[in-house]
Amino acid sequence: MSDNRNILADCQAGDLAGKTARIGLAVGLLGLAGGAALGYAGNDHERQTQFWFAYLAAFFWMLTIGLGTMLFSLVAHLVGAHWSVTVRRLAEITQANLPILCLFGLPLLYPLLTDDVTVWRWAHAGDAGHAAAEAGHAAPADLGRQLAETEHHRLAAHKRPYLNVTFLLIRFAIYGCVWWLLSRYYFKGSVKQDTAADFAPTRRMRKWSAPSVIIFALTITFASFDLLMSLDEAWFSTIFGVNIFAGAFMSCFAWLILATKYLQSRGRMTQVVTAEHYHDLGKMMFAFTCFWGYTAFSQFMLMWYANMPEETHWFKDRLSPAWLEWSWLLMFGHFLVPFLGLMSRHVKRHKFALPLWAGYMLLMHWVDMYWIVMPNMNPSPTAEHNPVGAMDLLLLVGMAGILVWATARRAAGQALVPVGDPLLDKCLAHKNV
Amino acid sequence: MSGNNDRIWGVMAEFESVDQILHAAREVRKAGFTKWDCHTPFPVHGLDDAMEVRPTRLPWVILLMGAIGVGSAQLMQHWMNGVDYAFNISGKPLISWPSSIPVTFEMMVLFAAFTAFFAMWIANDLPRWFHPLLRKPRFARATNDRFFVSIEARDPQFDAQRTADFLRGLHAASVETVEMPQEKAALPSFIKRSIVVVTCAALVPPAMIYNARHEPSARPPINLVPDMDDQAKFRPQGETSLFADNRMSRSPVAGTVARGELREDSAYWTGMIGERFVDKVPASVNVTPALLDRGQQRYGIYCAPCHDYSGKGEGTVNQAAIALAEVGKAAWTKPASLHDERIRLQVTDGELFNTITKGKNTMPGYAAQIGAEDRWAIVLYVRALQLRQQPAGR
Amino acid sequence: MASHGSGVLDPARVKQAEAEGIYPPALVRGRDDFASLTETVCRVSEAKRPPREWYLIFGCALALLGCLGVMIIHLITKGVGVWGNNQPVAWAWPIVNFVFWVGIGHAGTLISAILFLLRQGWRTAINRFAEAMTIFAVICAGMFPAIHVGRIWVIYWVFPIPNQMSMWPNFRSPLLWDVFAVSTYFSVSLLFWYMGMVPDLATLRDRAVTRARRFWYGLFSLGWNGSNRQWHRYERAYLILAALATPLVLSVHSVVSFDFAVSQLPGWHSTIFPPYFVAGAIFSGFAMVLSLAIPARTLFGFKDIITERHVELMCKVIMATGMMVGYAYAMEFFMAWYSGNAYEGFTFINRATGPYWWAYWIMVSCNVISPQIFWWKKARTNMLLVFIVSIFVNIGMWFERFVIVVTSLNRDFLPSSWHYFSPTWVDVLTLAGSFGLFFTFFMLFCRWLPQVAIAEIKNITPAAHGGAH
Repeated sequence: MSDNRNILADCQAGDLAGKTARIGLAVGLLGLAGGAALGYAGNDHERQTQFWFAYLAAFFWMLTIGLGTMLFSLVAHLVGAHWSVTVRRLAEITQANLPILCLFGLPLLYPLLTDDVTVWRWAHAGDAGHAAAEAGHAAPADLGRQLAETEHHRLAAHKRPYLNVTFLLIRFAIYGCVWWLLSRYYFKGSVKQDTAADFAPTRRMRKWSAPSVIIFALTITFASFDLLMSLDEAWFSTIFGVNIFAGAFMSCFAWLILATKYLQSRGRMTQVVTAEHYHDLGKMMFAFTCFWGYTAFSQFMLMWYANMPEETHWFKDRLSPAWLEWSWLLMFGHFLVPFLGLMSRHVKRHKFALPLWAGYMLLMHWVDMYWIVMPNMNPSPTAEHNPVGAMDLLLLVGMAGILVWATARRAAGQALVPVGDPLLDKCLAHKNV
Repeated sequence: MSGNNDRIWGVMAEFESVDQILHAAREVRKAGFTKWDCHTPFPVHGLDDAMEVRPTRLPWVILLMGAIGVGSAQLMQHWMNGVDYAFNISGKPLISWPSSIPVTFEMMVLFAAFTAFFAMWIANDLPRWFHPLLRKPRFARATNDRFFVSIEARDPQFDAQRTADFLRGLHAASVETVEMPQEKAALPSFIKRSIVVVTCAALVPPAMIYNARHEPSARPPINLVPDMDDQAKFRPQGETSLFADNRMSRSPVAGTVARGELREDSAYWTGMIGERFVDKVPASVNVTPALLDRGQQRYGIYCAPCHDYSGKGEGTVNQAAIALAEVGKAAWTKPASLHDERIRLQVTDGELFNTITKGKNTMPGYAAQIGAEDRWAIVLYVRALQLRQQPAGR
Repeated sequence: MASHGSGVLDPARVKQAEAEGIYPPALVRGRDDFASLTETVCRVSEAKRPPREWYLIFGCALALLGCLGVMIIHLITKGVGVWGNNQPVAWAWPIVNFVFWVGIGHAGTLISAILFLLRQGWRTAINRFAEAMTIFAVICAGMFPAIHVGRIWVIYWVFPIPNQMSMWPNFRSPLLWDVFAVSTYFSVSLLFWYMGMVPDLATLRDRAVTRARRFWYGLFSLGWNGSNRQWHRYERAYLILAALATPLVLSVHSVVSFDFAVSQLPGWHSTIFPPYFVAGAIFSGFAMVLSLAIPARTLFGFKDIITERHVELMCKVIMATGMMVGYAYAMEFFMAWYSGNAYEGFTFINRATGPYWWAYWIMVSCNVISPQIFWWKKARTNMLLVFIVSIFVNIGMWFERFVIVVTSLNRDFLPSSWHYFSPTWVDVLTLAGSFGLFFTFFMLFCRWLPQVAIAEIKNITPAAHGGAH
């Protein structure tokens, strides 16, 4: 019995946490600063606007990974899963940082509140409307375009009770509170169970998991509506929240695979996470890649089929010459290729193949976020120029670094595995079919 | 090998628990037997490893068939709806991939699932209803609560006595020899006969259909429910008591104007405004060289037989009519030359149009043969002729 | 022992966890040795006579089946006008019944396939039962589109086989996707169900006393002898079929939802329809499983196999899927406002306050309100209460499809086209008759076939894993 205790001996981060955190912070700050430099070099308004759009895409990418790990912790308690116990602590550590990660969204207040850069058009609706009127442009001769603009104004006015800056800030305050409370509760509770005499923390976490999942679902949905869907204020899709959730949950597993692999390669958690656990993480990543494909296809096909201009313009922008290749990349890269690649159980159990796929899926998740966000900068079905460049990638790298920094920082000081969890036994003995 | 091996299929040993069968399996494997098996009421964890069963290749076959399903579905849809009988459905592309995805997915699952099912049974060599083991009463517990090991006589290491002793040594609850069945396993004759009868019967409907498709018949097709053949509806020339005149065919209400037939622009359609002829070709006629060419062409078809290509009125009809008149077979007035001063200067464009439309004296009206636009084209061409005073023609 | 494993945890802590109820109770109560399990399940089919209640239910089912037959003949000879469908409500009860039955079928596949992939041992007590329910529900479902076409004698035109017009079906129509989806679903479920039953039919064969039983169980068990080499391929194929059936379940009800969502009708054209319908299908399906399992466990003596824990878990699934359905309601409601589309907004107000307000509120109270009682464990383990709520959920889900189909058609874009729909007695009796079809099959299944997956349930008992693992 005491031999078995040695399994848990290497489950402390030790100084690896500090080292990793420092690297993460350096990469993160360099990435973000580099992106900002490229964005703001040379007083190009177009470039500055693109910087903020790219920042939004990268930030939301990071946020969804955090939210995905939060949901993973909640669901693990909800269903009493035993296979995931040893990887759950990493998820809890990641999601515990949600408040800090949200802080990195604060710079987005700049395009939201000032008029220098427009990311969310509805935030400046009043001013832009006046500006156009004052500029004295002749009314468009094209009746169709005139009608479209009238409709656009009508929609903007209709949505004003929801899409206005004040209410948005209130909503984000609420989301932030919810996420802070949930992340804290499920991190602290789990850490407490490490040393608690009884199992009350586990029982309490299980008890609150169901309501937490419900609240979580609502917050992630409306956060995605507020930040992403409202970029095109005329467009709407009821499945949008589900699609974002699918991507987030898929990324969570990819993140856990990479994080666990990294720790194991540095001599931590070497015996508590086996090929069986990786297999399951891979299965979940595969399952949610398919689920993402399913929700994305539903959204596309239903709007394609009904062919209603108020809905299809969103896709027409993304099938313009500028974005067509990116859309193909998304379809093949985010779904078809991983579908074929991750099907095999050998791949899911392979030491190197699975982490490679995990990194790839995280990249594809960013491609998805970018595809949702960026075409809104100059929406047009005939757009010629795709703006992706070094700046966007630097911002992605920056946000990834920040995520690593936050997670590693938090990992110092407690076990990397929930050592007090009652299902730890079964987890360590877990075997797949 | 002892003599009575010929009638023995093998030996079977019964074990009482999972641990025992796992242990026994490992021992039998270690002993080097190859033609042996375990029989359990449920798949026992770890038994595959203990027996060193090779992983099956089924998954690859299933994957292949799934891929074939995908390909077939795509081909089928695109060929059937886009090539062979092209369907335009609400303007969607003839070969539209988004709408082909659901059927493609279903067919992939269908092909793969059927393969999984049938290939598995085939690979398992089932159905095999007459296995020697199934005749042993004790073996009935293999599907209940006991675990068996069976070693076949055709294994090179088999020996009836030694193998049985070896199994007894593994703490088997019982060890029995399994005999080869005396009579050959065969389906009962009534089953064979029924299969033949059913197969023959099953071929009859397709044969009848084939016959019906390839033999023309003068009889009307058979309709089980004849409602579509004899529909209660109005037909032309039909009789009904619904209207006073008993006719199914109805005329439109007086003053009804068909779509596209509202001839508001009377200058264009009749060459007149009120009672007066219009002076010039109306503005709604777009005068272009192409229109004049058209006028020339139409003139050549309809007008030249009498008025001839130059407009002087000595066309072939005219010549033939004069010839007939000379022998008293026709009365004929020569058509006026279109270059007459009166026609050139006093007859307005509208009056010219009216003449073409309604005719004049011997000249019939050409409204039925020549549309309004063409009539104006002819008017323009006549004016051009008058200006040129040159022979018309090619 | 509730947990087994590496022994990392102190035995003392394990005991404490057990005391605090951290570990779930055993899946099989009472005598869980293999022979007892075999006996418990097989004795139902082997009894000389089924329980008296069986005759009663079977009799009623047969009567309703007869009624169904009469209704269908009446429909085919007289035409579709015998139903209450009108313009604009051209789709009414038949399509609602179709979606209702298909939805019910999905729970069976979820239990069989998805819970298998998720390694949930508790499924083994109900999966055979639920798979049978799926097959019979899909038969009932498939009947409705078949009879609603009017000219059922040319129904073969929906299949891509050469016909006398040299025409092919329209693959761009979701109604045709339905044909493929439902027939694939039916055949795959049938294969999966039969495949799972073969080892159990072998068990029945080996216990058979009469010659007829030996023949029929022997024939259909294909000579299965429990060979491990056969089990190996069998298990692989079973896993792959489960992995195929999982997306199949999602796809079938998504395709059914496409029937509505590809249109431009307010209240129908909503991108969330596919997952919403799937969640709703599982919701109603589990309710039906409970409605069947709770009486069956008493009637056929399966109380130790289908335990309170199983019922509790099913209630939790109902809650989870009910929440998903509720989420979808909320999304639709929010978007009806957010979209700024006047028609969409009107549709949702109309559902709650228009001529079908009563259907809407039945739906809300049955679907959203009644399952909330399952937050309390006492409610989840009270069999009568669970049974009642499951009936309510079934009713609510029927009304949900009714509300979606009829209210959106009844009042769409042009007020001059609005027209109320009322069902005729043929509509009502056909629906009742479909229950007769379902229960006839189901009662026959209960009588002659193994209701519980004998081999699978043995596999989850402690004795199946031995000590050296």
